[in-house]
Amino acid sequence: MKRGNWWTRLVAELRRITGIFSSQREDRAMREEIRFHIDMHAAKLRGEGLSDAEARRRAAVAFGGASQWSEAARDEYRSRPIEEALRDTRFVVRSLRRAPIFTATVLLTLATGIGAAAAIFTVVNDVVVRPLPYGNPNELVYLSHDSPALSFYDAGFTPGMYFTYRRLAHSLQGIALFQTGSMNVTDPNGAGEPERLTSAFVSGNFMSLFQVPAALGRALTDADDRPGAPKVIVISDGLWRARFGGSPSAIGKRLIAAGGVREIVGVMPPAFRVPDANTQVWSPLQLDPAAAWLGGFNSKAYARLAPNVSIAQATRDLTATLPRAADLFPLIAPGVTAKLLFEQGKPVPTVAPLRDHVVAGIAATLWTIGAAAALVLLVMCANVANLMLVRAEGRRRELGIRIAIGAGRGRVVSYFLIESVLLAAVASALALAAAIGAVHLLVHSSPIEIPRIAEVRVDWTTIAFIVVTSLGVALTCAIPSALRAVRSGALAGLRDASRGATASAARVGARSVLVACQMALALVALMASALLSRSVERLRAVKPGFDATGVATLWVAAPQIRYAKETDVDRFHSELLTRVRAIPGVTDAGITNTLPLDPSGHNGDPLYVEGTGDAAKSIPPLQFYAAADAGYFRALKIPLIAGRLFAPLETQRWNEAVVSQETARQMFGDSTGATVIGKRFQNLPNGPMYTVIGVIGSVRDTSLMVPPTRMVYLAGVATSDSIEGQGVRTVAVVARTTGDVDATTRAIRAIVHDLDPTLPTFDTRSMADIVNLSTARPRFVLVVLGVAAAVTLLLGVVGLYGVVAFIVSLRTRELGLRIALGSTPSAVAMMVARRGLTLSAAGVVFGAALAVVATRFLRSFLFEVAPFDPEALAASVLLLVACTLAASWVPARRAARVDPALALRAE
Amino acid sequence: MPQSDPSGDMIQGMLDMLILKALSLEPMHGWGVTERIHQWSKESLAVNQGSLYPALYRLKRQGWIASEWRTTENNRRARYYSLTAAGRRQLAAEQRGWERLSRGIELVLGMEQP
Repeated sequence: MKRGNWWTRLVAELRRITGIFSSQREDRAMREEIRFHIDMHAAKLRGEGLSDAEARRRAAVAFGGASQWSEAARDEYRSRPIEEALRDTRFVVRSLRRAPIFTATVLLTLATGIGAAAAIFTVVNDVVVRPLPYGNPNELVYLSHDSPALSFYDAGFTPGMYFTYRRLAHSLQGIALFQTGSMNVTDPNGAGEPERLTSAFVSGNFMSLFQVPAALGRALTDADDRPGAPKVIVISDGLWRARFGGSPSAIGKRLIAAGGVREIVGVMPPAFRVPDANTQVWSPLQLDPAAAWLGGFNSKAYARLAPNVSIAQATRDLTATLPRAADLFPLIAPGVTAKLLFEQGKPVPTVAPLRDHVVAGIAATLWTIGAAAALVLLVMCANVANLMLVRAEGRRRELGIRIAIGAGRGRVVSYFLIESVLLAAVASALALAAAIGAVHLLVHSSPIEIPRIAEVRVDWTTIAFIVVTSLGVALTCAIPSALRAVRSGALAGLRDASRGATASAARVGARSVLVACQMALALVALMASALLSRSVERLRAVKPGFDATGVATLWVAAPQIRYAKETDVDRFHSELLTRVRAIPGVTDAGITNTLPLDPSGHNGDPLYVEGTGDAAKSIPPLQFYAAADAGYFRALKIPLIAGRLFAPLETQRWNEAVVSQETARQMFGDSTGATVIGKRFQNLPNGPMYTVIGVIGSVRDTSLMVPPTRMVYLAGVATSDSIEGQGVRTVAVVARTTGDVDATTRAIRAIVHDLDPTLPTFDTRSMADIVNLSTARPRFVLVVLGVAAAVTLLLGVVGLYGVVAFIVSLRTRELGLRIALGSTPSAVAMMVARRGLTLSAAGVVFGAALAVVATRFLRSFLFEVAPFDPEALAASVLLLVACTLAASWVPARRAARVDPALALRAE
Repeated sequence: MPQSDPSGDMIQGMLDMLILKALSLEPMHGWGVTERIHQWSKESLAVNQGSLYPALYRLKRQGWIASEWRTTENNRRARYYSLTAAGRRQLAAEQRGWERLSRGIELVLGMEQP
């Protein structure tokens, strides 16, 4: 036989066996190794005196034939893992299909847990974490001022401050001023319905600051912002599509907006969502620096930091720049010097990254929901790990045989790995579908308002999250089973499975730890939702100071071009109210410019009580001012405590004021209000004097969570204008009805349309809705935590039941023996139940410690409840213990009923 | 690695143990392993080459031995195998297991018939 043929056959044989996986390099290495071996053997034989040819022949024979060699090599050849993996995969798929309930449970658990977590992750990531979608977003900041001296925070901006920074602050590339609000919009030709549009008056550089060009036409420029420049507006993509059908001919169209004819010069792209996602119209402010005051904090400002300038550097620069405003703009308001503002108010500039400012209100809520999702995911993981252990338990025999007939440990471990990777892959696909659905639900019907929600979408980061989490979870869950299978070795499985052994610690240990962890996490979720529910209960019990049931509200604005004089406005309101009061069922109706609990904010001004010192020398603490008529108090059932209410609209005197009990107490030192009647005060040092004619009950104006604020109601709705003269001719009509609130709203709308068809009505809401909306956030968090608590508790209890029942099934023989030897059934039941209770006790101790730490993060949602609330803790522990009692009692009773004869015969 | 149970896969396990032992002194090529086992067993054990190389590959894949190409004293290229730390531990474990097993077998076989 020629050697060449021999090699060729060996290599060919190896190739055939290992197929496509064989590598040329390994072939060569193997060949060389074999040649070396045979040569060495031949050399040895030669040393023993054989001829060269004979030595070679014997060495080759001793090595063995090609087929024998390669048969053995097939199993160990390097490329085998892949082939093996494929074979194992087929095996795993078969065995998973043979256990449909296990497979479905694991997949559903993983898909819901990971899907929910992925949805929350997507929202948190897109809203809180991702940079804003504008050029160099890290340079964008929100500027404001705090006045700790006047307890006035986030005061915003005044035109004087804006011009000062714009000229002198070197740390800024640009600064843009804006005021938000809404405006009536009608067509000059009278076509179409009048509309109330969300609007922003902005400085000319507003759009260039964000580096966003117009989608159509042009953006606003500094030229548009000059006083006296032609009046133009830029509209949003949404308005463009809704009102102009997305037609390019919208450019150049004219609208009557904010009391004047304005030309549309541009349409912004949908991604331009400043100052607000629902801003529909941008209009230039056209401020005149020569006529600007340093006072009037009714503007806000965005800015772009100069390159490589930090927030801290910018804050230092602005702090150094601010005092120079007093030189440029000596007066805050007519007759009030800027010196007073700086001496008394001590304003401090604040600089915040724009993204943080945008999401400031929602970040805590989203992180909390994220934590709840993570908690549920953890418990679901424990459940899946438990299921896998149970399954591995049932397959000890099979795995034992596999090990016994030669499957290596690596092989068994890889079997579990393949199973978990397969499960993870399918679970990922299901979780992705679940996440898409959940994100859609959150984006389109979230019960709370979430900024940037329009930017949220499922994308590659979501998919990456799902895949990584699924793999991580599935692998982690498989580890306990794989370790157990490997550790118990070959014959252990065979021995154990074929004989009813007593429950060994090793077999129940892992599952017990998992169940105790589940109990601990369930307690955390229970505790959190108990706290929230107590807090929401307290919120419900809060008396806001008015009666919200059966009250309809809607807004209407009387523009200057149609109602030039204040008396015209009063006549319009008077007529409107007369007709509203005539609607069947309406018992009272009134108007105001500020609704309680309305998120749009309140006006703050100081209150100088007459005869309490030099008004020009000190600024008293700020308090709220609103305008209302007498009908407003009656409609909301705000009680009159002393004095009288305003006279009817057309006869009321502008210098009369009604104050809240809180103002009477704090500013006039009399909570009964009796001595306050007739007292006089000013809201500007040189301003007009107002006389208190009545004291009414205090109202929670800003939030149910905040104690009643000091409030002054002035009579003249039409006269209480802001400094820029934008006109507070915008009022809410408030009507109490014994009938249907919605029908009343429709009737009021019809009356407004009948009185003046050019006036839109807007922000239609029942007072009850406004109150509800103000507590939407804690209630939403409560619902999320409640669901998390229910799911974790249910999974925990099921897990506990499983472990206890498993113990009973393992110890049936022993329990039978005990009963046969005279143990009472109740003693046996107790013994079993004690196992369950021990587990839950361990969970409770661990969980309570965890809950004490975790609930601290809920502080911002809690109202009149401390994060560590013994009652909530006690209630949670009791509920958990009750559930675990039930879960251990059922298998314990079964244990007590074991028939000794049957148990022994089962052997 | 958990302790092994040599009773489960006796033959294969024995060969593995012998190979690990042979490599515990110094790195060796396949031929050297055969020769060493042959010598140490006072020529009573002869390793079949047909199972030697598959065993070497298997041990390598399990991470108990590593291999590298080196030159022999006679200036030939050969694949040398050496024991890894994991292999050393495995050898110790297998040796303990083997001692237990062989003691047990001795006791059983040494039993006098009553």
